[in-house]
Amino acid sequence: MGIAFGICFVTGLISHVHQNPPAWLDVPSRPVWAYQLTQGLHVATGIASIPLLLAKLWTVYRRLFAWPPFPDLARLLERLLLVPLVAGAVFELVTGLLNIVQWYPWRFAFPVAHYRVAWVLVGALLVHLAVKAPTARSVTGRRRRPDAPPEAAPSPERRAVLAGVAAAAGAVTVATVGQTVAPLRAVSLLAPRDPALGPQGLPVNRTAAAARVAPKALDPGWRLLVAGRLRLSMSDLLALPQHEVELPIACVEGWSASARWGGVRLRDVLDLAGVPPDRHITVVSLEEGGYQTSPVGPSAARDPLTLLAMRVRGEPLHLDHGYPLRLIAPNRPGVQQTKWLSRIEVSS
Amino acid sequence: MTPWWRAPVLVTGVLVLGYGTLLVLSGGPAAPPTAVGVWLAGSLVGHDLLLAPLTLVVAALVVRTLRGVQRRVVATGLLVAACLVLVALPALLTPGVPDNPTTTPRNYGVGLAVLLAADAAVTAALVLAARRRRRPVSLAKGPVRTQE
Repeated sequence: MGIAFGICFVTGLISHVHQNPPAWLDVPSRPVWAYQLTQGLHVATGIASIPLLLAKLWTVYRRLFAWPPFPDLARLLERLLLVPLVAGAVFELVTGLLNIVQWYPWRFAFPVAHYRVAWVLVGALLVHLAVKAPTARSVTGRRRRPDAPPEAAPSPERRAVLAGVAAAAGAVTVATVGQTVAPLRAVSLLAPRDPALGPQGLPVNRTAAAARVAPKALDPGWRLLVAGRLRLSMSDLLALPQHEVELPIACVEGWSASARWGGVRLRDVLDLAGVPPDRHITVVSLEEGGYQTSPVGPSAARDPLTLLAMRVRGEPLHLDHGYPLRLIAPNRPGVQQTKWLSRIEVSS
Repeated sequence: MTPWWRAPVLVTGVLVLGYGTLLVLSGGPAAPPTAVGVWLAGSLVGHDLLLAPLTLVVAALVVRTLRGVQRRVVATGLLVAACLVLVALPALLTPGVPDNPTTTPRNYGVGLAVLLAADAAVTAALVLAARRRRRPVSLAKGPVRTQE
């Protein structure tokens, strides 16, 4: 349980830093598959920890009704600590599960609340572990004194609980992990995404209709403005050296799908505009609102795999995949692979 | 004996818990503390007053009606089923995202039914296997007794 929540917390922090990089940090663009792995792990571990959490809570539930409820101050504090622990754990799993189906029946921004409560949960979990440390040690029986009586073998009931939790964790994992592990997509009957379903065989998170970009994106007068001084049309971009790269879209919701993208290297365009190689840049979408901009550090901006893509799988981008031009870069959350590009700005 | 890591973990935990609490209370339009608080309270109540008691009722029924290996196998099957239902519920109940057929694209009712049927089949097979394993033992005892 602790390990599962530890994995979720660390991978969650990685995702948070990707999406909210401090100004001084240049998020590395390699390894290519890093975000796909950490975020896939984040969601899969969260789902697998449902049976872990339930089994844990259900085996200790009747202790809630121990009498007297608060024999001493230590026991009272221990009980109060259960409030952030249980509320935080259930909150993180419930909001996470609803987010992966893009269902938001609440009045807060999911990533902000999920991130904040994660700190509450991890803090409560650490305190809980410290408080329970002697008990946990006596159960695992490590460092027994040589004259201590031999340990009793785990009872059939305890073994059955462990086997049941393992079976349930395995079942929910197989039922969903096909959204990122493509060979399992046929058996992942409960996966919120099918990585091969969508226009051009790729899922879409935000459609052109939802982003209200269609008129501007389809306008033949579209130009990409680079660093405020270079204006590139579609034919200008096609006249630059073209490259093809195989890169995944790895979404924060835990699904991912790889495809072959075609276009021009971002670094070629930046060189053309005379942008120094150590600069942080911002890509700006035609879409207005929360997803309009995303930061690109020098490491990603100069990576030869980072493209301003015009094609996917040999076809011009579908409007829902960011026509006329989108960013595609290695080791980057899907939400930051900005679509329907209009400008590239250089940070001062 | 108190393990050496207890104090540092305790101090770190208290600091992290305090930081998290401040974060939640810091509010802002993106995550007002009242909106988050309602869902935190709902999480606690939903589990402790709804899910856990329901589980105990089911568990009591299993304990009363079944014994030994069968009880353990059926309990495992029920835990697997409960987790599958919980994971399927959001996809089953979501209103969906308008104009985006790539979100929750499957028929989750059918998917859940197939998985629950598989779970039931495996559970039944294991229960039968457990019964059959016991029977040869009792048969073997029979002839021994008649020879005596």
